[in-house]
Amino acid sequence: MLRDRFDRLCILGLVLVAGALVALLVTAGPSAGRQNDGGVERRVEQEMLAQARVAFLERHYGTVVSMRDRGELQSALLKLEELERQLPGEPHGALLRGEILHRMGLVDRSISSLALAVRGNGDYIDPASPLNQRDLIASVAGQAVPLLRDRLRGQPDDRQAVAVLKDAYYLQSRLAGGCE
Amino acid sequence: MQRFGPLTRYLSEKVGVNFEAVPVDTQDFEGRFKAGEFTFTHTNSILYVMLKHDYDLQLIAAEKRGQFGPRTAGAIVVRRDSPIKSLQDLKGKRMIFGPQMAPTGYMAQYDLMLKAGLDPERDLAFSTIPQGSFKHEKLIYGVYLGAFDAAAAPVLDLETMTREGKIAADDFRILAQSEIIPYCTFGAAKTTDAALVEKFRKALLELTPETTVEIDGERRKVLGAAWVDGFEALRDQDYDPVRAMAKRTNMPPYQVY
Amino acid sequence: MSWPRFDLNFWMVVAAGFTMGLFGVLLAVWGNPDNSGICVSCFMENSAGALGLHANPRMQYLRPELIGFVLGAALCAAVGREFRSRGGSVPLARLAAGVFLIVGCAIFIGCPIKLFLRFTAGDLSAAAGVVGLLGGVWLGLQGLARGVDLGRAQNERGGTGWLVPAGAVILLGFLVVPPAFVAFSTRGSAAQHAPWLASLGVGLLLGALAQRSRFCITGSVRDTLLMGTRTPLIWGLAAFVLAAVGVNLATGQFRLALYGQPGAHLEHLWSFLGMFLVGWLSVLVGGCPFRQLVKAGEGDADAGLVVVGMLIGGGLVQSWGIAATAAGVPLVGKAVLLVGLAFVLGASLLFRIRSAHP
Repeated sequence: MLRDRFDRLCILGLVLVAGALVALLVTAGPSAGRQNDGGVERRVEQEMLAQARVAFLERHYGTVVSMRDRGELQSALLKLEELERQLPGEPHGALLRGEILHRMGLVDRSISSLALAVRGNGDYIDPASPLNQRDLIASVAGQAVPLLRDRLRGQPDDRQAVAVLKDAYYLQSRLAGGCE
Repeated sequence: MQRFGPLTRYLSEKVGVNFEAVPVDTQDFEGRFKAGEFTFTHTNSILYVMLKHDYDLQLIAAEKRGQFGPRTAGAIVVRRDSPIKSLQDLKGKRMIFGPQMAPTGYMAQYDLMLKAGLDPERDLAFSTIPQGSFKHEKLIYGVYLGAFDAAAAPVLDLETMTREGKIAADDFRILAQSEIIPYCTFGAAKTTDAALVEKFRKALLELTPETTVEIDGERRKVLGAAWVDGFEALRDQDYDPVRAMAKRTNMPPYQVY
Repeated sequence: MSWPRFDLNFWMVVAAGFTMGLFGVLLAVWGNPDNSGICVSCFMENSAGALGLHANPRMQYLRPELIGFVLGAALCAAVGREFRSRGGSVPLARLAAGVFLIVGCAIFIGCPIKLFLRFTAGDLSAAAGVVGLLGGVWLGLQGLARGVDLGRAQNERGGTGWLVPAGAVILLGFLVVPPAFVAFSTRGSAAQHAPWLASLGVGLLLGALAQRSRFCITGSVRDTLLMGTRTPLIWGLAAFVLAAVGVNLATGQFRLALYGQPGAHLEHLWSFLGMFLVGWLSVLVGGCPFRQLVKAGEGDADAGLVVVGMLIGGGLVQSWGIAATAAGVPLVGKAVLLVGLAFVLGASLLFRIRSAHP
């Protein structure tokens, strides 16, 4: 390979560049390479966002949770209707609705809400998350599947039952894990 | 009939029969049904129970609306700042009800009061039913504006009015809520051809929010026009709570004079 | 039934298949997502996310397995004097093929390795994917028989074949000493991973075994269709299945069911089409996604381009919402899959060597 001066110059250049790179990385301090604006490390930022989200949800949905815990289930549902206008599409509303509907004995209605919640935020089935609701979701899905299968046996063309059963299977699949 | 025009047209097209929608007052329903005026019916759950009991009406499907889907409930509400804290506190108060044949505007609340040991005929200082249309909204506003101490409010109306911003969830307190019972229901006369009934049911169950139909030169969403989220097949035993309520409240078809 | 020759090559293939099946399940037991102990497409999506090619915070992790596959193959090829820098055959088409390989995998939710890992864990929803893969490989072979040919890699002057292994070394550096711009999910499936040393070790081992034996899932299917049971590759696949089923049963991971399986959806038609596309493309480019990594490791720059395409695909399927989830296949995903089928059909037309006489 080293036939002539040009080759040798290229090799020398490579060695120098490699050395400069090593020297740069070795001599760089621990804070070097971070964002220029002095921002926090990405992992810390993600953790901050997660905690901020939990605080946000507690602030906005705290009333609903209190009503639910006092047994004022219908009032809690009405409050959720109101919050839906302020926070349209927020999965936490769907989660709370699903839980309350389950408490009211409306398993099939509960499933649809819970599936909507999990589609919007996978934290609800993440065991490591403070928003984890695996037990609730597993319980409701477990009740819903035989109920809906039974309904479809009697009425196979009930599209709504098919859709809700799909939601139940979706929740069971998410609970089982695997890639998202 | 603006509401049900598109649904009627859709059913006509799907079933292959020219349906005509006929609006009927609740108190006239049974008489006209008995006279054989209708093949298919769309009624509240108490009328379904009556017609099933007296004329063996066939159940087709229940209408879905609101967060309970094909079901709903009745509640007794007071204003948030009301001194009334329990059903017992309703004694000597003024209360407004929905129409007597409204399962979740009258019967459900009457039943709640009976269960609490109250006699709605004697224990209230005053009770009434609003006149005209939008009765359910009127009784909710009646409490909100202080004209009445308590209202027999259908939960569906509370939900709809909250969603539309007409009231705030915090404006009211729910003193009690009834069992969840089926909502409006389609039925068919006993003698109707079974295949026709099945086609009718299938057509209802196949409806999606995107289904449209052309009516009066305009393309309209069938469910949206009817203020309905869809239809669901229920079983006759799903109406047993309505029957039990009707028996307890001495309502038709179990009334004893 | 015809028997293969029970020579060293045969046993190498069986060892590669067995090891892949064994560790494919064990990696899930050790922390990788369920039924995804090894999944090249999922890992590509995770790695693309780690490198900033998409912003899904639940899918960002530099998977050591991928690095191991490339470096294991490179080291084994170098030791066995099989490392040859080669390439130059329809590069852009190969890049696009890499993208569509990942699209097909993302629609199924898994590469051909994960297809069989899911199947051997009792996931009946993978059956449609198996049929799709068989169909795609078969159709690809029909194309080859009729002259569809992307051309052979030519020996290259210089060493472009080192670029992908060098890239893997850099990524290894990023893994060991993560710079700030490499993301690591703290939630979601990308946060589920086996200890990185174990993952890397398994990757190196499998990369080396696969380089030496030429084992590949779609290659097994392809050679079986061509040669029947005489080919050692089908025995390698059988060893894979045996090992995977055994470990799944032993670790309680086996659950025979259609519903409620991890990382699976119920749109069987699209599972079929996803793997159909993967099977067909794999025949055209000379191997499944895993095989592309191994070939790239041994200096094949054409395979290297497919690998780059796969990484781009990993970013796109997340950014554009193409990837299927347990909820089903999104409309965009279906459309892009159809575009992928159009691509492979177009390639079959354009790259067909037509004989002068009919």
